Amino acid sequence: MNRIIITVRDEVGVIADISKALADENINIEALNTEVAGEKGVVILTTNESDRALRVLMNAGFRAITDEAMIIRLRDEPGALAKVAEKFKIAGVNIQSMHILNRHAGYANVALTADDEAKAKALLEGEDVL
Amino acid sequence: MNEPNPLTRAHLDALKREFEELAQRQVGYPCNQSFDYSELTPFLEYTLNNVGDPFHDSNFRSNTHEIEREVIARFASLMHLEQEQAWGYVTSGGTEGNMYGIYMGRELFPDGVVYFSQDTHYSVLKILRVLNVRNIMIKSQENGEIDYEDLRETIRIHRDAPVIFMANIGSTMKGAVDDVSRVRGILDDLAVTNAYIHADAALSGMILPFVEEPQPYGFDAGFDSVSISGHKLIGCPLPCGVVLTKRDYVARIARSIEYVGVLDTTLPGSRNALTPLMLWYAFERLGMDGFRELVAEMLAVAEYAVERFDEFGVPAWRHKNSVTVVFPRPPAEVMRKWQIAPLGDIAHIITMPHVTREMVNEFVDDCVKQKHKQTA
Repeated sequence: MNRIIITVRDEVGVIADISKALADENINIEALNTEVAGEKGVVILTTNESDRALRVLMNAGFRAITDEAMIIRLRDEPGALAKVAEKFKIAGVNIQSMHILNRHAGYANVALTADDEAKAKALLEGEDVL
Repeated sequence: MNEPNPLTRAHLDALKREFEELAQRQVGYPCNQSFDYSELTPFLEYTLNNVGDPFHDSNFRSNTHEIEREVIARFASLMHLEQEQAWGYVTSGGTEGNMYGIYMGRELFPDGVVYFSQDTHYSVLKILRVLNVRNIMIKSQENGEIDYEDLRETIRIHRDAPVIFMANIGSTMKGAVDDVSRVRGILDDLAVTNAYIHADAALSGMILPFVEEPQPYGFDAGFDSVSISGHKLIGCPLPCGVVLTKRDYVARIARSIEYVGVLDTTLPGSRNALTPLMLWYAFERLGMDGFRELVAEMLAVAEYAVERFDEFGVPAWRHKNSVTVVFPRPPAEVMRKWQIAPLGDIAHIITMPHVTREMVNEFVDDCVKQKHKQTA
């Protein structure tokens, strides 16, 4: 199941707005996780209809993307991404892609895919995986 | 052909009025609207097609390949690429040029990792997905330039893998220019010999050649390929661009394509034959001096916009040699009236040739008025 990742401002009612937009279209939220750093955050959710949910959220004005990537939250400091890359390199796991989703209040949310997902997950144990 | 029926005529008239209206409020996108290609209207009567490599003969002779080669030669000269080494074609726009550049890098270095900054145009993510190439996004500095230290550290960790670096020569939101010389320096320091640099110079590729003190750009600064938009600074009613690279590289790709029985070295099959004609015509009409004057005026209007914002205490700024003026995201009313592209907390205007000082005045006044209303 594809996850939907939404970058949002930390405003009162934003989760309610997301829920309402989906409920109005009879789409069920199966899991929802939020991560807020300062004024901005990331909402990660799975629904029973991922493709339609994405369209509904986009039409409702949310900046939503689908990604099968692992999302990690890192301190936004020099070399933080490189340290993660190094861990993968030492373990012989190839990073297929590593994208910064947003940076705010000293943190960066990063989407990461690797050629061996199971090993990648194991490597990220201890990191702030969303 | 018959005249259109009244309903069709009314529809076309309404559409034209809408576009005329929108054109008056277009300040946020880098598209020059000041052009006149009416001399080329007669060419709309023919089925023209530039299918194939412009440097090779085509069986479809209703093409503008010869003119396209002239266009490539002019861009090669602007990008400091020796004519005998220059190869390229007129693309459908900057994205195709960027795709070609990364494709070339991937073909030369199949195990390469693409590095690009957070401020790179969103279309690169699509390209990377299509080409299925390993890639790592590097964080940007606040001003939109890549963070060179993070780039160095990340390359250092993967230095056994070839580097395919995508440089922003005028980033989309902030007009930032990645310092290609510095990136080359990092590669040298780390003894990375297998490296390829593609430059996305969509807008600034037509600015830097015409300023007194440009940031490093061009093939002499380290580019292996570059994508420049045609409909941006030059101005063209049809989206288009140019990709340039070195003939030696293309020869390697051409051989590999020949192996599967296709001699075409461009990405698409059928290609637009009118856009090379339009770009050629623009160069003929304006000439290099004309572009120099145009760029000088655009930069002057950009500076004027910064000053006008400054008068009202709005913290606006721009990079050296950039026509992109960045300022805090204005109220929604302003964005309803004007065509601008905000991103998060910021927005920009881009002082293309059709953006006059009068338009800047009106825009700044609207921003300030609406802000005051909000505060009140």
